[in-house]
Amino acid sequence: MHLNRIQSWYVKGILLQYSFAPILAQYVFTSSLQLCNDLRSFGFRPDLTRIKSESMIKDNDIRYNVIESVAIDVFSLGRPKVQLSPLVAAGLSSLKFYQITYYTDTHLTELFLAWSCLNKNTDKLLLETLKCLYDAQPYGNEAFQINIMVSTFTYVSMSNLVFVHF
Amino acid sequence: MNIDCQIRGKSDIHEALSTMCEAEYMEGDNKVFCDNCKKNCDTVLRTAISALPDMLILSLKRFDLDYNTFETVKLNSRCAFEESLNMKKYTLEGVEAMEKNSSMNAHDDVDETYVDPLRSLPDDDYEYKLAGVLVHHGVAQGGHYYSFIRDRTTNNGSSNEWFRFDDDEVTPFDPSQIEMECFGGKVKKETKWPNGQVNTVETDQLANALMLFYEKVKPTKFDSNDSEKDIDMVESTHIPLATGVEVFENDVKRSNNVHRSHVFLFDTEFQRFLRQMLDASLSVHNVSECVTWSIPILELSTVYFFDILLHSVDKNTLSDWIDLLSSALSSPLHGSSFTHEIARRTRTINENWLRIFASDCPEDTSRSVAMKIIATAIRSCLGREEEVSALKSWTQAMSKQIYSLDSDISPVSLQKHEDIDKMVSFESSSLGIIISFICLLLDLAPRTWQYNIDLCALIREISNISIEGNGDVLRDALISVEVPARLIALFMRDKSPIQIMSAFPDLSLSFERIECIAKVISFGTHLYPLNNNMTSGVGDNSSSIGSPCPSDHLNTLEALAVVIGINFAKREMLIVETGEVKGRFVYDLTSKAKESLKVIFDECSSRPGLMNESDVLNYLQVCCVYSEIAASSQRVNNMLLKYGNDNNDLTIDGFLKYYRDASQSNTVMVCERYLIAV
Repeated sequence: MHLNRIQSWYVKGILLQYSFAPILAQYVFTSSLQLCNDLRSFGFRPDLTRIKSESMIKDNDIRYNVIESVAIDVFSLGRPKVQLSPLVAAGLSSLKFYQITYYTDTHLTELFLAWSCLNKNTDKLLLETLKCLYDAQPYGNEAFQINIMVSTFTYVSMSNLVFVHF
Repeated sequence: MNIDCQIRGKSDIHEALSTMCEAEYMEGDNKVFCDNCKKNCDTVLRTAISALPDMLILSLKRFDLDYNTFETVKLNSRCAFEESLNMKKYTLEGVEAMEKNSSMNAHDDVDETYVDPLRSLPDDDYEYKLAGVLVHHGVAQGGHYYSFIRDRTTNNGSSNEWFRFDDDEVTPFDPSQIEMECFGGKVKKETKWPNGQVNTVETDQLANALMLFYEKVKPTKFDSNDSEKDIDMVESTHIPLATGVEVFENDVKRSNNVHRSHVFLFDTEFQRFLRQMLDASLSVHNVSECVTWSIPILELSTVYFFDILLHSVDKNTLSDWIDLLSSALSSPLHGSSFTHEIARRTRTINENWLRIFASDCPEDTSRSVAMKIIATAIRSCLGREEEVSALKSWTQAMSKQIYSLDSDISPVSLQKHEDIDKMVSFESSSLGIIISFICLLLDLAPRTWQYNIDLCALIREISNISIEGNGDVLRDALISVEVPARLIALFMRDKSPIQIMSAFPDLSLSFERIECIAKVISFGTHLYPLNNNMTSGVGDNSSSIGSPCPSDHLNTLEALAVVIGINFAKREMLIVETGEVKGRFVYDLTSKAKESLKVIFDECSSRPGLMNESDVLNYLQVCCVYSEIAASSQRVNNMLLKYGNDNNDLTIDGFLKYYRDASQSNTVMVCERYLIAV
């Protein structure tokens, strides 16, 4: 089946209606999704520069999980020199920010999370994530939300561990 | 004279005109009060033309209301007309003659020989000749108008040469085609299949006549006495007479001038001349020569580029201009001159390039190109020490101002302390003025979300500029005026943390509220748009839906990432549109994507230039981290079967083709998969 432009608008409309925004963002709008993900798997950053091999492969030649790789890569850049205002800190430590970002681009979400964990105390974010996880209902579309929460939570925790490790 | 002809159920204009002249009997409750009899009497109501005009216009009522759906529909039914028209039957004299005849026939029992009751009226006085036809092609909600007009300027008006007037195109027209082009009705379309089968489909002819212009063969002669009286009256009352020409003369002259200048400005020779002139100015390195003629040429070229070329429909020459302007602006002196111009224009309304192309322009290509040029100029401008120090002073002043405010609870307001007259002496910073204006545009961004995607792209580009020895002066400047916080507010809107919402109330408005405000501003209640098209169709497909979708925020997030220091978050293009086949876009990998894939291919190949079955399996296993499809041997076989060579090995060409095909089919494949799930 080939969709012309008008048909694809309809498809987008239907998908939006049924809360398939992440799918839209990552699949429909970018037909380069597979290529993008495969490049990521091999350590290519969004700008097609490459992360160091030690950020991809552990000592025993086992590959890191991609999220771990991203975190190690961001952490390896060291603490940024920029001094951000309390307003930016408030935005980047809000769970809502990552939930909305996740709908737009998963990779960017990971980068922002890693960067935030590197710079700020993430206790508030962790607490907020845990509360959301606790409140989420495990059925229907909420299951999808839980995935977001879990990934966020896992990521934040993991990032903290990596931070401690460094 | 204009006569509205009801054509529903009528096959030609005579039927429509006859209906107009039909007698209506007013009896019973419909009796009409008679002034003579002083009571309600039975009456015959009829319509007839008392005096025929020299130019008769018949409006065919093709737009009608469908009482089932209460929508306006267009009647595409056939309505025939001829090149000559006799109006005798529809005049007062004609109607009276026919009535007289019919009443006489009613008294005579036997009518042996039929005598035309209208024969006593001379045909010449009622004869018209078709002079023009206005055609509408389309449906009730939209379409296109054009005309067929007979040339009445030659042969004393009796010429039968016709022309088609379609916008600015005037072409000869064969009047024998009038039936096909103007009558409407059904049209049969035949499709012949390769097996010889002929498929016939009957559809409505969407192009049909809407107005007919008939000219009287024998124009009416006025009574000389009446004319004299008229002249006397005109002279005595001093009423100015107009032929109509004078009314439109100025407009026509103005249109002709505009047309002439457009033809000149878009002429390829003229463009080539300007480009050559700009090219010649690039060789100038001497500062005094730059000031005397190189910079004025750059100014002229940028005005031509931003004010004319970017507004043009034809974008074919843009790439040449972009390369040339980028080269010209790469010199710090030229870049600085251009940023001064941009900064100066932020104080104007109609000449403000930054506002026009960062938030108002509906053309996505023009927007992105303009932002690219502005970013190039800003980059090279920082090559001047004076500009850097002016920007640093501006940043310090701004930081001081911002921190003096309690930004957690009150809106961050920027006081305009930039003086454009002091830019030349570097007492004020042109870049600072531009950044201030960018903040202003960001604050208005929720209202112009459809057109300001490239504003974030500009922020992303300029925050990535670092100058050797001076660090990230632009990033510091952007941070000093809370651009990152503004981007977060623009992205999160009403979901922003309370501190951000307090600081940027305009930026934190929800889309629904912005939509309400925009409606109040744009339309009265009688001017509500008929459909959502008014807010759609801006550049790419993603903006076709009436509210921002996730992909619309990508530039905002990338800009935020780069401003806060994640420089590599700016995504490189992986695929590029190379054309369209049968309504479907064709994609190819960009050269950078190909280079990256080649690196992966080399890493995964156990032999130089070849990936065997085991290599492909290992490769797919790494990729499976993100893919929901497992790396099975079946998948490896399929890949090698389709993209491998004769020895069942994968070459770099096959590898790249695999990704090219994946990019091509991804949209459709994924849509199908998830639609089924829905």
